[in-house]
Amino acid sequence: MGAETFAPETVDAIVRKNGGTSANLILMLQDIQTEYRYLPHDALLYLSDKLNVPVARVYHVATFYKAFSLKPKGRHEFHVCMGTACHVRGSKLILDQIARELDLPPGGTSKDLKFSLDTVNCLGSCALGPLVVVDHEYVGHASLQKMKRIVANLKKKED
Amino acid sequence: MERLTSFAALEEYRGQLVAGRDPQRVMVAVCAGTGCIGCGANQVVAAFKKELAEQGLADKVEFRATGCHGFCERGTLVVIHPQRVFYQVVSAKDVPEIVEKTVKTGEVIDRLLYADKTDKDQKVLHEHDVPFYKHQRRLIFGNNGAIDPTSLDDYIALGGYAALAKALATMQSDQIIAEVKRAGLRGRGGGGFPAGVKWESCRNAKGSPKYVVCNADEGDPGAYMDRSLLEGNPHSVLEGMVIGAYAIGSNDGYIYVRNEYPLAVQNATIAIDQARAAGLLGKNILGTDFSYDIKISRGGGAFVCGESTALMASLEGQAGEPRAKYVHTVEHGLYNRPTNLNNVETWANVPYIVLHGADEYRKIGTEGSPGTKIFSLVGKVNNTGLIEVPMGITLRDIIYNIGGGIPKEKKFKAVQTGGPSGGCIPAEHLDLPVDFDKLYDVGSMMGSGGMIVMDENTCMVELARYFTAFLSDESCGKCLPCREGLTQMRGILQDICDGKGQDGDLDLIETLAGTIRECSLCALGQTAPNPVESTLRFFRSEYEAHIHHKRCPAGVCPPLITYKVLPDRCTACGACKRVCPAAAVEGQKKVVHRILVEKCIKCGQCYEICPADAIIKE
Amino acid sequence: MADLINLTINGRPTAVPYDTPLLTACRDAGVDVPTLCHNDNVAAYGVCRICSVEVNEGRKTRVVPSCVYTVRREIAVQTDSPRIHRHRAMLLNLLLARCPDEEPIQKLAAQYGVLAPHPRFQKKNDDCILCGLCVQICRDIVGVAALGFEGRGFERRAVSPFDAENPVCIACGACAFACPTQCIEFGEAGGKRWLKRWHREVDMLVCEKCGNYWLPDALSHQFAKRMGIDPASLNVCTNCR
Repeated sequence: MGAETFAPETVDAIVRKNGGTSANLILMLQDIQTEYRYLPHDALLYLSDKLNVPVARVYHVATFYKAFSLKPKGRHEFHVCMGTACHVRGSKLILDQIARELDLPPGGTSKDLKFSLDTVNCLGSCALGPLVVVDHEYVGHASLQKMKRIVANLKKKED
Repeated sequence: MERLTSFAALEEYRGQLVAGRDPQRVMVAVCAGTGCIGCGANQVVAAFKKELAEQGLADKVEFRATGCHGFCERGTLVVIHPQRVFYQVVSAKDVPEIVEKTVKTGEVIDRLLYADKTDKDQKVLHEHDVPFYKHQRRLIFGNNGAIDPTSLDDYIALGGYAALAKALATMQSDQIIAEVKRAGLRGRGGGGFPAGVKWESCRNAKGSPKYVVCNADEGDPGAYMDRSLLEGNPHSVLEGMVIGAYAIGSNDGYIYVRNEYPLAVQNATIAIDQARAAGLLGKNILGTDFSYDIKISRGGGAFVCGESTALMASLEGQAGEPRAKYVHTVEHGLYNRPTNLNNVETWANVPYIVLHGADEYRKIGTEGSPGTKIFSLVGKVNNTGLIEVPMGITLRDIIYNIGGGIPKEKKFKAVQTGGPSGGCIPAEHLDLPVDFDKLYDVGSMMGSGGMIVMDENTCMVELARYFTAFLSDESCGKCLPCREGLTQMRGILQDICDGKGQDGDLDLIETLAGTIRECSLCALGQTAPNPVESTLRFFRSEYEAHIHHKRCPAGVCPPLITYKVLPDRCTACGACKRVCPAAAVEGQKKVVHRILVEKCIKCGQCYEICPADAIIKE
Repeated sequence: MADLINLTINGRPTAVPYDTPLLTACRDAGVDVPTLCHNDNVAAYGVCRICSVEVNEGRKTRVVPSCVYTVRREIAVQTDSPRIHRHRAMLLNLLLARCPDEEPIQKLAAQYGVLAPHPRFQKKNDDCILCGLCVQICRDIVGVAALGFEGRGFERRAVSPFDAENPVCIACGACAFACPTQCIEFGEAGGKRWLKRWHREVDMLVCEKCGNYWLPDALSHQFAKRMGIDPASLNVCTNCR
């Protein structure tokens, strides 16, 4: 699956759903990101035109916030929490382990768009630390071996 | 339920609800906060619903999936009322037994009871006797465990919106402001600024419309009380905001929530819709001519958006860049209009103050910091979770009486408060009474209430590096000292952690810190030097060990430690050799294994997996 | 409010109208305060912090950026105290680490005793000091907002969106004119005008009468729209009218 080109009707609906005002630009971008797993270039140009705001502003917002990606994310997303509580419980070693298993740097997506690895700043589940979110599922008390198994299982699923 | 168009209608409705609820009826409360959901709470909830239905008890036994109870270390939590039997670490397979025994006959299941980690035979039956809860004062947070956050009825039955009715019916705006001022409520989000004074300035500011906003951006890593409040008792926050809006003269407001808190967004949205339908929010609240409505906005993933001017820029659909605050946001804030921004927990304190009065509120806490504070007690502590304590309680009481001390018999080293803007407090200050001013005195701050406990295996240099790296990543990049200064400071700290520290590095760090502190545009930069400065103040020798002796005394910084097999403990099981990704383990069956230091990449897998505890870091 | 507020600058008393930017007050009093991101034609952005001065408001002294801080009460100002001198030196040191080869920065840094970035600082080889003037001028004066920022923190850049040619750019060159390090290359030849940094190239209009190139066509469209005139009238250059 490569990068989709966007459908104007989809963006129109998103704009309508979010009140049609440029103050809600961030909410609109979030919906576009959810829809396409990234922010397609043309969708941003279309949005800028529709909301009558400069492309430069849309581009700054799109590149400022961590929720957005200008490149497609993988089908399976790993988010390693790097909050303080998780950090003192060894999240760095967990991140390194997953990076090794996926052969991806933090922030990277595999060329076949199967996997993405990202860090995230404190999800507020500190008692579960170290915490990794795999495809929206919270994996608490993550250990090096547990993450190794999860990656292996997902790789098998994808094959 | 019907729209409530008068104060009398609210009281009548409340009366009906209370009359219809039998306090002696058995009620099962399962914590369904995000933490417990991570421990399988959704499955426990489903199992209870199924089991109660199958046993024909759905009509006789009340069931509630509640907000966060706070004792996150022991999730999933289940409390059976009216006896308040407290079960912990409950999983779905325990449910049939719980229903059969405790729900039906009141019989207690021993193995699910709380027992101190140090004294496993001392089981505790009731929630209020559990040491974690016993020493708390759960004024604001307590109702989380009693209500379903998606039920307006639950909130009203417990007295919800009585404060709003009292305010609208019997108080003028200046009276409310005076009461909040007298109560001494200080901002719970980090600044500790007197809320009443802020409200007064906003009320007096020229311009309209005025906005009353809630800051739910909670970005401090390790702090999650706002999340739990908004998830677990959203109406308490709404009620506070409506009272504030009435006092200030605002008709429009927002709750700005972090993007990473989907359940909080969901429950707050439900609560707003319910409150609006019931006439407690929106047009003509409770039949008066006062109208105030709230929209929810979500962040895009930027810590800096917790700063008031950056938050407002984000609400306007811009990048979250702060601006100078020589003219305050209460005068020129959102869309350049007078805006009053307060934190979630601050808003949640308001109904109590209005309902019970400033004098009653001031009975709790200290002179300079009345009331309670919700802390997230996390890190190297036995009982991690959310706690609410009166201001003035000592750090020692929090960490040992409530927190149950340090796990695995390790030694306490420091506690970090105030998030990345705060500092580390060492053992010599454990008897410090916790309040806004005392924490400043030791070089830290209250911040939003994150309290991260550290033991002898936490490297304070690495911790300073961690916070500096965090802030450097989160810097908006607008102003020179923060953008460039934090990057350089982080680089030097990384060098020190990697054994590449040089003479003069500490002086350079201190000079850099001074310029970043005094010249940065916003509070992110201005407080960014705190972690470095406070660890240098109390743990300078650790820095010097890294720089001059290339040693990490805590055994943390990978380039400065070596993994080693203890020959007399090794059972030659081969587990380490199997997991090693770098082929750095030498050994065969029945031969003690050995780690090849030149090949070892310090990934830690052997250390984690060794069943004989035969691998050490030195 | 026609009220004048009294203040002292480096010990000398003066008075300015309420809400006067402190930088203006200093300059009007003949005191030079260095700046990098300041331009009288646009609102103060307050990002370089070089204009920082010490202000004593009665209780204690604090460091404020004089371009953004306005005079609202009696204060005592020091524009070049040892503390300020130290801060400016560090700020310029940091900036030099990003832009070691930019002459205007080298010159200013030298005035504060900084001849090279600190050896412990990571160096970039940037030519942009992130003052934001190009972005501001394009947005607030020229009115086309062709430029903006990308990203945040250390990776922040002033760019044309997507780092690609932006068709709304009218190639007027105002950004190049305002840039303190002159890092926006702006040229014209063979009937085309370009701004290399923004990947922008536009055709020049040819005058119907004399045959010389005279205006970028993108600019002419914008101009005609703004002035409410017939674009065809711009087919004759001003010399030939």
